[in-house]
Amino acid sequence: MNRLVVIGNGMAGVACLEQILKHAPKFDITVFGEETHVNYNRILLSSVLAGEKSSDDIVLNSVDWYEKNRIRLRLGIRITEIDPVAKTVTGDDGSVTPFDKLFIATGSIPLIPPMEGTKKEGVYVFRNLDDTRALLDRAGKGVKAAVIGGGLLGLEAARGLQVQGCEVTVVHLMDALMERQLDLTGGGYLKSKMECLGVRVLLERSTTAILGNGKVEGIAFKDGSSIEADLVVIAAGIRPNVELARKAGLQVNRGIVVNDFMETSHPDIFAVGECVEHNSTCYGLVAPLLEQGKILAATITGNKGTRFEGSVSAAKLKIMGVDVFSAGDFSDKAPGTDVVRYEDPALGIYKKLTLRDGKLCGAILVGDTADSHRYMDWLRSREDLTPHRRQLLFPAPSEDAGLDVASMPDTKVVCGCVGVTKGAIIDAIHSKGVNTLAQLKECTRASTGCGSCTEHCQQLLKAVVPEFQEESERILCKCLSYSEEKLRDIVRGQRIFSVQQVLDIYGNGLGCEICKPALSYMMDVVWCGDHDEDRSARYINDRVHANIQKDGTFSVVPRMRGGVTSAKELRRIADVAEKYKVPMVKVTGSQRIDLLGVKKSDLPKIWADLGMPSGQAYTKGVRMVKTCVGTDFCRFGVQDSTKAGIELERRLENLFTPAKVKMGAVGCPRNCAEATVKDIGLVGQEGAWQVVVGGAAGKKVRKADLLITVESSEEALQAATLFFQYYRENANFLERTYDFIERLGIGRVRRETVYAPLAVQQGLRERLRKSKRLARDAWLEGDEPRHPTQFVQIKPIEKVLQ
Amino acid sequence: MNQSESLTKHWVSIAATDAVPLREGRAVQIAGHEIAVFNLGNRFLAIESKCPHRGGPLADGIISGNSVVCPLHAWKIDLVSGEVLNQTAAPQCIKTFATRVEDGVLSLEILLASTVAANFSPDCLASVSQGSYLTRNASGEV
Repeated sequence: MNRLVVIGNGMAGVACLEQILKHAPKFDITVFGEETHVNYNRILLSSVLAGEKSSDDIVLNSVDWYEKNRIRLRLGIRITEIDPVAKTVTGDDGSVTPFDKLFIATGSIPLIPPMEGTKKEGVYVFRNLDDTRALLDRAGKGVKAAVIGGGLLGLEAARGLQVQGCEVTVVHLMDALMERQLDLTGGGYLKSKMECLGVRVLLERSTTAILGNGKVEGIAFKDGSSIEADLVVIAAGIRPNVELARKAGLQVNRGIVVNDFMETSHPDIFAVGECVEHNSTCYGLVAPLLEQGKILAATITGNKGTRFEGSVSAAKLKIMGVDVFSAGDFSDKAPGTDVVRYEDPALGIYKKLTLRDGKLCGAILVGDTADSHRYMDWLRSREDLTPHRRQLLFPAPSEDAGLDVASMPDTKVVCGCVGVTKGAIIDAIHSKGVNTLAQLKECTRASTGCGSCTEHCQQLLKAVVPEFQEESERILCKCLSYSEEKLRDIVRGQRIFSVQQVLDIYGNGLGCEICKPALSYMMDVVWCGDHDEDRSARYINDRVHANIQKDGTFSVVPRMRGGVTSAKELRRIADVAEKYKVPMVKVTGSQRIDLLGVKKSDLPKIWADLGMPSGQAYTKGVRMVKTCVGTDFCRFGVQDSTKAGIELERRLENLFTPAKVKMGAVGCPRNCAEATVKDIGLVGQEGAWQVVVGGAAGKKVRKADLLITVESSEEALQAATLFFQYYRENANFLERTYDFIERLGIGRVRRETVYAPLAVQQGLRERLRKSKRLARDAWLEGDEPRHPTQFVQIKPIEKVLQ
Repeated sequence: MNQSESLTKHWVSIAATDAVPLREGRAVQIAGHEIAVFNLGNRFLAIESKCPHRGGPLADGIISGNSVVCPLHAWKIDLVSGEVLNQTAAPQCIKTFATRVEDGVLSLEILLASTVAANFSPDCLASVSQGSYLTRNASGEV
């Protein structure tokens, strides 16, 4: 059997091997990898740094794969020499391995610009999994990070570090970010997006030295200025890794020179990937490298035929919320170039197309990359666009949603990163029973690279799968095109702490009465109260902690836990009602007392005089626990519902919820305090408590579902609070418990709360504890208003007397 | 106010700009108008603070882009034109007031009777002395 040796265990090399395995002649294969990891998706390293994926998530070929295909895998070994005459390679472990055919897939190495101090502790590059892990170890809250280089990699590294809590500055030599992919205007839009995320950007700064005594303390610039830094990432570009090939006497320019069949100047040595130079071009993006792999596989197995004819260069920035796409030649300088441009500064959208002779030459998209596929197709096909001139930037809406995918030929590549065609996807759907995007990813690897083909994959699934059910994602509102579930992930994953930041980065920058209160709640629940509360994003009730009435006055309901009060409290309430001439005093349906018709400016004084905490009767939060008299006085009571109810209210009061939460506790099944029609109810039985959830007696009447039956009061409280936190974290804003439970099913709710693994329960409890620690009685704000005019009208400086 | 009198526009100083927090509204009463002033970050906008639906206090509404949403029944009113945006019934409109900011002080343009206006120089309202129709709030504070 012919011996095939591969130097390099990266994406290009292994993708080529996968192709070679499909061809007939079998090789005895040995792969040398300098890294100690199996083949992983290098494109997703920035997602690992940003905490969106773990290092296991990005593995492309596990050890099993190598074993199954009888590939000898030698990891952690650097090849130091190729002997092209004896046809052997020598490793840094002293091993000498003979080959019949050899291919080099050594990729590229980071470019370190000339500057002092690059060897200091705290200086990193961002190229492989080990670099990423080292950065993750060093990054953290408050760490000052400087990223040298404002290209794709630098920006992705910057965002990743920032998500890890670092204060990040990007330092760029040129006058615009990503200047190789964007023009000045596009770079400007990108800069403001990055700044919006909280990344500082310094342009036109040439770094001359990394400062510090052995350890990084800052970086210095040519203009004499400097900045502080605890860690420095050099992301100034890459260059093909060609040393081995050069030493072996192969023809090398910038990269290892290959012809259209990926042959080098030596008949038995081939090369593929980023280390290669074809037709004076080096490629650094995945799609062309995989194309090269296919061609090399054909060549090396004696099926030489297809040629590599170059590829349109395209780049996509992988930062969630910062959409940037660039392809082809976008320069508008060449004579005869037509430029088609669109800008919306408020939305941060910039699009520019360049055309020559009616054909697309280049495209830049910032802020909205939904059409990138269309432009890539036009760039590849070199189609005459004259008939489409009116729809270049805004395609006419398609009447038939399936038309887009129906018009693709089966050979059309849907996923450019992994090279999956439409035909392959349809085949997987039919022959392997693929029904969902997740299954499609697992089965074909489509959409596992940069993710820009996700939309197309979904359209295909929708068109082909017999019982395809569209994910019932409900978009929050037109200001942000995400579901609340997705937004919670974004807020958590991207570490966003304010409503306005979500709107600026992921929305239209403005927000409305629907999304702003929903996002306010989301901030509160995701960060357990440890966020930047923005009062302007909340309803008036939550700005002044009282319920607005039809005439613009407010109602005041103090907390009266379990509906139990005292003569002293009642006297104070009566005094307040008289002193402030409260028009109506009413006993509510929640066993509390409501003072109605109060002026906004009287609120702080009334709260002070009452000396009672807020009953939260005005907000999406914990209202009350209605109780019966339980065992203390009642002849029938079998459980102390009053005590349990007061304790439940005490444990949950002052917390916010997706919609109001009304609770009840009853001492026997006679249900005098109506616990079975409350969001959460405790129903006393002889020797047991039933914990019931999802009851309602409002617009809708619904009997609560049984969550669990337990013996002690403490267990009942534990089950109730567990459900409470689960509801807080998973319901959509304004979704009452009864809709929530019908949406999820009580079975799932039980499985994920009272029957959940201990660790899951502990997580829920810990987050509830944290929220509770930071929650406070809103009426304390009466003494310390958030804003001088919070409760009062503005009195004009000048008075007009009439 | 005597309706037969002719009305002219005048700038009236209201408050330091920080009296209205970012993206919130505040109510102010001037010459019989209850006016809602909103801070949109890059500019201030002012409208009559009374919803044409049921008279809800618009100053207490949530800002939605360039509109405010009434806290009572969510009618949406354009802060620039005063138009009601989300109701299909006959088009309705409420009064809007021009705003300006000088030296950190927010002013509104109000229609005043000419007899009122005759007593002060409209360009320098702050200098109008006691006894005229315009007086300065003693503390100068809001």
